[in-house]
Amino acid sequence: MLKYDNYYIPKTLKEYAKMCNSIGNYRIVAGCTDTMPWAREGRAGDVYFKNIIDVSKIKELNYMKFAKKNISLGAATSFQDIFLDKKIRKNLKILPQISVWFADDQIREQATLGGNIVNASPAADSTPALLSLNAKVIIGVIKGDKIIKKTLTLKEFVRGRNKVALGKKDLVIGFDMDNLNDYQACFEKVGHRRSLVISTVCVACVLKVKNNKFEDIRISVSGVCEIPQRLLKVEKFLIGKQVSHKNIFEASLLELNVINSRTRKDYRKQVLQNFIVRSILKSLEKNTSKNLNLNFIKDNLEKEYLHVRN
Amino acid sequence: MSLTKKRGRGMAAAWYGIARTAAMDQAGAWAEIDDGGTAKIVTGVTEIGEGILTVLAQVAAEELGVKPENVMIGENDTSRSPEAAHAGATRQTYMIGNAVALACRQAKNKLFAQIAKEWNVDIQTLKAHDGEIWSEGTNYRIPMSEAIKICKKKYGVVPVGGENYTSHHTGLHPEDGSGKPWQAYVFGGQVAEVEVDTATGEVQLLGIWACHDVGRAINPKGVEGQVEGGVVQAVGQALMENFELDNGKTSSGNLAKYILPTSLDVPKVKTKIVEDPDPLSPLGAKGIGEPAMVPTAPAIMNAIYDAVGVRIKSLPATPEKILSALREKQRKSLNKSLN
Amino acid sequence: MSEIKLNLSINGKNIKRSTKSHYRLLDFLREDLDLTGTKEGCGAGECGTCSVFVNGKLIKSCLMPVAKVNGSKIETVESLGTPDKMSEVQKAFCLTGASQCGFCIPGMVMAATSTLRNNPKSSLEEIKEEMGGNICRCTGYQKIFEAVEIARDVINKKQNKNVFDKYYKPENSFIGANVKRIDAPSKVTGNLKYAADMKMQNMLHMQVLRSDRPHAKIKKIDLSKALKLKGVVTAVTSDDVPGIDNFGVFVEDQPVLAKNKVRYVGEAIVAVAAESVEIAKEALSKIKIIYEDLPCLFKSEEALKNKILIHEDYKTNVVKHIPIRKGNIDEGFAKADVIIEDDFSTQPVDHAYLEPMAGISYVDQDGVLTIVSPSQNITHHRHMMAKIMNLPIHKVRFIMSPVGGGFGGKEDMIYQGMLALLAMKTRLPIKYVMSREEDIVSTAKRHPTKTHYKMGLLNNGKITAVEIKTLSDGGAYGCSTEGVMRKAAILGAGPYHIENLKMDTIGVYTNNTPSGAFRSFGALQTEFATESMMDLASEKLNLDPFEIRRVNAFKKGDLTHTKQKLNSASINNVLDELEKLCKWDKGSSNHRGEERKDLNSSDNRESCTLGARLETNRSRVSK
Ligand code: FES
Ligand code: FES
Repeated sequence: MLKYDNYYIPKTLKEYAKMCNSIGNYRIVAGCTDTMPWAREGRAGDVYFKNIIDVSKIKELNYMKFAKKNISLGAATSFQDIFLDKKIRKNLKILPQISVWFADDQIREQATLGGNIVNASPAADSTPALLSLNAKVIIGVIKGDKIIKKTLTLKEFVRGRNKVALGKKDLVIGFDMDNLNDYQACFEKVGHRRSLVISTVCVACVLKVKNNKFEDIRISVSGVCEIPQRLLKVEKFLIGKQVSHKNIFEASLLELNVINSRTRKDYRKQVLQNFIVRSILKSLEKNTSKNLNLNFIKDNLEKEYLHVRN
Repeated sequence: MSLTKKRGRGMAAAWYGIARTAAMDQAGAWAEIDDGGTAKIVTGVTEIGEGILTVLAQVAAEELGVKPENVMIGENDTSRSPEAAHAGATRQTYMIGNAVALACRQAKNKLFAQIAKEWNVDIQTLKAHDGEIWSEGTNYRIPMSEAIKICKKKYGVVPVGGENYTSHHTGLHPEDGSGKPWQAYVFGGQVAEVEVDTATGEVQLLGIWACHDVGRAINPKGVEGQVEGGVVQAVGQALMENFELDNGKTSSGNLAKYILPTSLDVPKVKTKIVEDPDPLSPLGAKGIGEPAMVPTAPAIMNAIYDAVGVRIKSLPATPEKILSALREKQRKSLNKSLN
Repeated sequence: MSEIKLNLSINGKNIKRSTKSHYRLLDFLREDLDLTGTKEGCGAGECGTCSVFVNGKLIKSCLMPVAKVNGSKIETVESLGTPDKMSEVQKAFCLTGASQCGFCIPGMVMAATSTLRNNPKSSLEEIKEEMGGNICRCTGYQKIFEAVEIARDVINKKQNKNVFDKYYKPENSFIGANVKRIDAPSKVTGNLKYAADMKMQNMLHMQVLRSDRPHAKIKKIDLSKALKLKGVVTAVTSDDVPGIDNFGVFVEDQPVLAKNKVRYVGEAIVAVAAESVEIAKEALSKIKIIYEDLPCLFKSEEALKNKILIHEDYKTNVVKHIPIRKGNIDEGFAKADVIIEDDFSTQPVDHAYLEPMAGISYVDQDGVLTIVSPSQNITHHRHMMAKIMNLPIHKVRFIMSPVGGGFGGKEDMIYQGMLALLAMKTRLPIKYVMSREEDIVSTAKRHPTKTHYKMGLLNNGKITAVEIKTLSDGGAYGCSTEGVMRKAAILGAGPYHIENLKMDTIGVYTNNTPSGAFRSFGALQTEFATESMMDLASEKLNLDPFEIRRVNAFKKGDLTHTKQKLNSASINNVLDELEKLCKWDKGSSNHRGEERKDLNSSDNRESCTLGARLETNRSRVSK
């Protein structure tokens, strides 16, 4: 049970700054969808805080901005908004795709993008998507009653399992990310069921093909390592190369050593490789260019697989 | 390793015994035809969701000639209702259903005796259904509400009945297990169709065809509900649920870790009811609660084998188990082809 | 305790009042407003029994601090309809029989309502996705989907609303009729009161301190600090039991509260009664137990060695061994053309009924100890309770409260004894509601099993001999182990006529969570092994799986494994009907999935890829 005496809901960053300077013993929450289950038997048990500060209603954390090259989302954007918003669907395809898999419709109404990133769970679904979007984290640093904005890359921000580069009073204001409306995207995830699922392996892939070559590709993973990661070697290998079964297959083998989960390593490794290949193929499927003979690539990939002795 | 999704089918059969095992089983019930042509049934019945109250209302309605919506079933209270024992062993329809039928027959006979007198007809000609009572071959036909008025006001009789149903079972011989554990058995079979993702080892159960003998289906929709629910519980057992213990402590201590099937994990279930009435009991009905879930898990495992050629012998068939079995299989066939 | 002032709209009414500041929206609705249609199945966002609308969006009220929704517009299931004025969704649920135990149903009705409000034309795939946060343990979801589709069609005028009033009925009979469930209206409206929804005057709340050790002597229980806490009324331990302190469905070996030692993690040791749940919980944290750890048994094979005894009185860890012998297996195997041998295992499974254990006890005006609980067997509970409390049987009364799912899990009397002790001691009503986590650790599970199997067959598929040995972990207490072993043994070899059979089932004590009654009671485990063996045999002998079963299936007049003469046997009929129903493509079980011709029929659901709604127009333009 989560117990507290006061529940504060600041409406502006200023109010927030004032509040955390004047009250002691507080915990910051946003959607509460992680905090409430956390304060139960078998996890943190009964927890008491004198004060709770709920940042989800701060107006500076609630925004969506769409520019040609860049898109910005406030930290308090809910996953259901991400899932349903027309513009996000068009421009950030990968984000709505991860949202479909995120918990369920009801939890998505409450859960926020910022909250999911700040928790830095190894299984956090949104992190790989944001990594693929080259997201930057906008942080509000509280200095006295001043709020100073600071920008970090996601990689700089997420430091480890449940660890992020955030001072006690600081908070995430939002995210800037690339507008990838001319990219194709695919998100692959596996757990033990298909709703309310905790993932074992997630792969987010966005790519762009020109003249049968990978013009750009970004692949990120989570669930298999302490911190969600981009597979830079895979990306580097593929960029500029022909879209072919050989290239895709070779790339899929390059970075399987990212896996450092404590359990089910073998399983994760196999699935990771399969997901890399599959997410590329599925993204390619969405590409409308007629030149690609995807079936040929797929058939050959299956054959390629059969020769591997793992 | 592979990327494709493969489909397959498997089947399994099952059987089950009805009511308490290898020990006498008994249940009591009281019935009364009440004012307004309604009925009151009191018995120690436990509605645990299977729909037994509705089944009993139908049985009472059938036996008494009233409408099922006019049957009131009393609370289960050890100080206020006759003993009908537990909700388990697929026994309530069989045991309590028959007890209620017998109690109702008594009550109805009391009413019929007075009405036969009133109309001066042979009691054998009397029939009652859906709130009406009539004498076959005559023009006598009145609502049950009238009949009960006549019975009580004119003849001073409250038509009540109290009965018991016993199912005769014997214990097992301690050395060779011989005995007569039940008097009624049911049989069933199911076919499963699965899609196995060879990239992840995930199994999606797409369809279940279930065929079960229930003796006599009092409420076919209710029977379907039991089959569908049983199947899905078995899907959990077959594919995802596992109460894991490590040195006596569980790591599946909440519903995030203890994985239950959701609306996106369940197959479409097609049920066919077979009726082989029980020759020994008044209603002929047997049961379905437990037998429904017995063939599902093996049917799924057999279907997985059909689809991808790996046989999972330890439940649950998690994606991980399947993928590692697939890899093992591939390794073997590769070795074969290389040698 | 600090308070918060609320001003919000609930089901169209403006509500201004104070409540405990840490309450969740769920607590506020249930405790303060008695809107108990909203249920608590898990308290952690994992089940959907608590779904409510906040400003038109469906959320899980167990994840929502009430302070967060101050000023909002809340709609609960009570706003959708009443038994005599139900919404289309509710009527459709009644029509299809979508409610079984009913505990998930208010949440399901809310989720269905939300789905159709968001997109009145939702496809089946969208419905399934959008309802994916609501678990139902009873129905298998089929009738729920069916109901939502009917409600959708009625709302869209694609179907006449008089469909709600019809049901199939054969002429002149109610047997075989799809009479609508008489308890459905109270369930779909959230009207039905389960034990956790009930309140009594001057009621106290019970909380239970449980063992975190699998096997340990209890050296000392120090209650002094807990009892001093303001609001704590009393506490009971095993010492307070007046009568013969044991219960169990078959073997009565379990004390109401741990006596001298604990045998599994989650076993009850002390029960506290206090003015509120919060105080009772705080009291638990102030109780001190001094343990002396004992060596533990976690493996059933180890248990057979009897080096460590879980129950010292019994001299052995074997709870029950059921042998079945028929014919002569050596002769049978000698005759066989093929012999197949293999091993199978099954895991422990939680009942996961959506309604966690709950109950209320009180002593009435005539001194009758009364227990209200969702028990599956109040008849037996009454007998055991009279003995435990040392009361004449008519001074013990059990009332069944609506059961929010049982599946065998609510046959054990694991908390009613504590409720009785506290009611007798305080002469006040006592209420207890387990949290989901507490329910999972403390209640019995399905028996895990290990089975070794040997089957001999002729080339034509006829079974000549079967030998089965099943070892099962019964956990710390007997519960239903004896009965489960019996059923597993009697039925395990399947619906087949077998001349030569040797079957043994053995259930043992360990320091694991007890295993108990669970729907299909042992037969599920052993028949799983048999049906897997039949498939192996089908492949080996190149016989269709239906065919090999027909060769062996029981016929009227056959002797069962326990040598009972069958007065009827429908198995052949069932197999014929099943084969027709699924349009089976004949062939042996030889991994022929790719060549089968019966796959992909419309009887299947679609394979779920998720994202049905990404393709549809339903979208939102945010802020
Ligand atoms: S989701 Fe709220 S009680 Fe389960
Ligand atoms: S009816 Fe859904 S949980 Fe019982």
